[in-house]
Amino acid sequence: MKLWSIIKKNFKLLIRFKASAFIVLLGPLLIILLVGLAFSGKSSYDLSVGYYSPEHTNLTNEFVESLRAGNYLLHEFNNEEDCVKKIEQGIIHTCIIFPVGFEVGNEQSNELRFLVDYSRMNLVYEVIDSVSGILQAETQELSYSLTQILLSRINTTIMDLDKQLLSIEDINPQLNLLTMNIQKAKSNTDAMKLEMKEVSLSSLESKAKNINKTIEDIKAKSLEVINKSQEFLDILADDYDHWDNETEAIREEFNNLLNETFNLYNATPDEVQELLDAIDGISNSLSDFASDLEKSAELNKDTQAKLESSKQGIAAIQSKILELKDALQKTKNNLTNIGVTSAETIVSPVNTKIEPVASETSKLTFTFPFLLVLVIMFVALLLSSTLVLFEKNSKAFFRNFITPTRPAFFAVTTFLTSFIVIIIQTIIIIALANFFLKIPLFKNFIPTLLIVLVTCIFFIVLGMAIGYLFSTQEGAIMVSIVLGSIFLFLSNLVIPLESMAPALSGIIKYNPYVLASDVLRKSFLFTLRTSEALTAILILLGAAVIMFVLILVLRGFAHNKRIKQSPDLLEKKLLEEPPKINPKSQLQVGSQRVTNKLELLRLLSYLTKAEFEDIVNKQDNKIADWAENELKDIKLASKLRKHVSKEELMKILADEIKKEKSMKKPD
Amino acid sequence: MERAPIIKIQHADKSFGKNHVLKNISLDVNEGEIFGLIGASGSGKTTLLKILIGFLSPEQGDVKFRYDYFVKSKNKSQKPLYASVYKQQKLARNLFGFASQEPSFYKKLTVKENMEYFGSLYNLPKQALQSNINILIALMDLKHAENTLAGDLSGGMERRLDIACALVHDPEVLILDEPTSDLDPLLRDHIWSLVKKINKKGTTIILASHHLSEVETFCSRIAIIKNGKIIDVASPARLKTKYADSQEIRIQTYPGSYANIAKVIKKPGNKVFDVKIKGSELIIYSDRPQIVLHELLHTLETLKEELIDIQVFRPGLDELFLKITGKK
Repeated sequence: MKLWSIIKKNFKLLIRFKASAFIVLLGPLLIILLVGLAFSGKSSYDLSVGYYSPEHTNLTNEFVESLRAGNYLLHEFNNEEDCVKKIEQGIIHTCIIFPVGFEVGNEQSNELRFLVDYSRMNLVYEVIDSVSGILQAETQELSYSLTQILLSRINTTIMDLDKQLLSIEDINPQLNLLTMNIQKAKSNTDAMKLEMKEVSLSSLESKAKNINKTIEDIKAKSLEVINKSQEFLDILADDYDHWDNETEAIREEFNNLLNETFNLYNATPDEVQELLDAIDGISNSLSDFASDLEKSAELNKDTQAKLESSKQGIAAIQSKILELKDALQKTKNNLTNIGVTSAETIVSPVNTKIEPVASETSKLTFTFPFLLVLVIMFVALLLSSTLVLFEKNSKAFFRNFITPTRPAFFAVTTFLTSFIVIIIQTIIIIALANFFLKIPLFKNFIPTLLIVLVTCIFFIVLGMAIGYLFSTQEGAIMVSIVLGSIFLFLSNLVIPLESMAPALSGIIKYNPYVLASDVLRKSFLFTLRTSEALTAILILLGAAVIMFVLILVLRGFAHNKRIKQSPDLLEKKLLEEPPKINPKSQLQVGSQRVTNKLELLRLLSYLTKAEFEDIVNKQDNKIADWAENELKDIKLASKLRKHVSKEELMKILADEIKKEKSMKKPD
Repeated sequence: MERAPIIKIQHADKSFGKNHVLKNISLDVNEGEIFGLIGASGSGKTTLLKILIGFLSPEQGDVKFRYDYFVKSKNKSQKPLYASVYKQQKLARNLFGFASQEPSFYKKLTVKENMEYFGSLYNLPKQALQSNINILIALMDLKHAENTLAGDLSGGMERRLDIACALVHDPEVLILDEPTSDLDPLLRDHIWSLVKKINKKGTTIILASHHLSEVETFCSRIAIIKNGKIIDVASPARLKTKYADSQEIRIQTYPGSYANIAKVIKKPGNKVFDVKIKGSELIIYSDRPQIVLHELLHTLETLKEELIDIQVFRPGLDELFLKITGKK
């Protein structure tokens, strides 16, 4: 009953202090709700992207469209400076500067410039990653189409090369034939006799003259024959009269023959002359012919040389053609040997597929363990330190102490109250996360539960220690926030531990926030066995136990401190060292003098009505005058001046004294 | 027949650093009495009360309480048994109820919740606790405010609630530290009437107060403490007899030229120790009041002062206290 009663009282106090109730009880739920709304179902940030394009080409428009399709908030700027300014102002997250004449095929480098604010270190890489991812996809698409074109050209070239190689194959026998023909032509020209043997036309002339003489001899003999024949005929005609007729016919024939012989003979000199002329002509022709032959021989020689050269040329061509053929073959082989013929493969030869080891994909799922421990940490620190201070600084501290209840019992109830609150909050958060955000938190239930419980225990005990170390709520809240922030800052959530100095990261890995969030993350995302989380659990639990012992010691100190604030002692100190009082600052009331408000209050309680009216009446208020002139407390004076009844003045003074006491309460 | 002491303080000595706050204090508090503790500020009253309940422990000495209240069945001899407050802390704490100078309760709990909460810390059965609460609420006149947050109560109600919280477990001894400080006279009267009612129910009351006249009125015995030492412990009447060496003559006259009267009356031979003007009264201190009265009446006649009222008192505790403690 006692335990429940104290816990119930703690709850009532927590709820009735509106500020603490809101901050400690509703705050975390609000945070998680906001975070849930902020991250739910979204895998990217709402990024504002600015761009500046000196001219709008098709390619620029394509890039802009792909960014727009990526759900970015796009802002176009008229110049680079404006764009940069908006980044500095935090209105946009990045600025893309398109080059002039941004087109594919252009010989210029087509450099897209990204302007980012590296001082926003938590966002800059996300921005670069996200936006450059979109642009990269667009670039890859372009690259893909260009490569496709290139590949089709290569295929065409291979086909052309095949044809060319076939042609080359055909050229070679033709060249061989040509070479053979040249060889034959050379042989033929070699065989040509272009030397003219000496022709003696003088003997031909003498022979013609001899023929002419022979002809004359023939004429002479013929004439002689004819004459003799005619004489023989005359004899015959004379001997044989009857044959007159016949001899006559023969005679006539002889005469004809004689005429013909004479004609022939007469014609012979001309013909001989003609023959001689012809021989002269032939002689001249032969001379020309000899000269031509000589020239032909030279030409033949030249032709032979040319033919030889052509033969060699053809051989060289043939060799070159063979080389060309080999080269083409090689080129073809090279082209056909290109193993990768897919444009996609050429554009992205290596496809990096990032596969999460955890099956979850939502950003919130990954962030959730850190977030949950963060909430537990801050709530536990703030709540438990607040509860301790409620207890410690409460006026009821004394009454609690004098009851038959062990001091450790109050510490335990404070712990239990915080524990119940945080566990309820954690359950609500986990249930909401599970139900609305679909974060599968119950798949590894036992280790998760253990880690959450130990985390709660550790941070509650730490918060309690802070509460016992500090005497004001402001101080404890400040220290709790600072400590929580240090834990948070020195964790993977802000800066990767791996990027820190090894010595520091070696220490920081024992940061309770890191320990708890890391092991909780593993439990949420992987199949973590309880034994694997045992080290972290034991460290946190061990630290909590040590701190709890420390708390009990601190509670003793707090008790002693309260004891030393005994009114007896304070009053005694005042009596031992009486303050130097200016007689002027004293208020004369009847026969007595007072130097401060407390003395005045006590004295007033003794005063009779008449004594009181002597100093405070409708015309005069010496107490108010004293407060104004001697205490220099115009506010109090004005309050006192408003009243003329002793009870009211005493109430004002009592309130004032209470207020001063509470303000003077040492930290 | 005088009752056996319920509490025995034996040679208690307490220091805070160099401050020797209590020096060899020994006193007994009897069952059923209202015991007053008076002393100047810083004389060690509150420290003594806190030692009494075990909140502080003395460097030397002991505080013992009637142990046989808790072991009645075993105590067949009927002889009071005593145990040290520090050795039987749990029982001792059930014995005492304490209302300190500053109310000690939760301002964000209601009157009833505060009482329920503090009652629960004494492991009372629920029914007994509820019955106690109902009685105390009625006794302290807090019925109309039982569901009001303690922080919203007036000064007098706060004090009553504090006393109610101190009484919620029905203690044998109620300790009140300055129960009426900072309260107006009406509220003071109210508190004192409550104290009397509580005492009538059989609760022993130990109280420390600055209001000596009230202590004088309500306490059966008074201890005077000075610089951590008990100067005397006795009933108020006895203290007065023991320490009084002058009486007070209080007069009121018209038109009231008290300065002139004082000048005349303070003549040597009149045995007048001191004359004070206090409000509308003139107070004359003398160990021979009959001579002074004679002279006074004569003086009034001479100064043409009309006598309105005249009273003769033995000195009050205030004066005695000042005299005993050597303060003026």
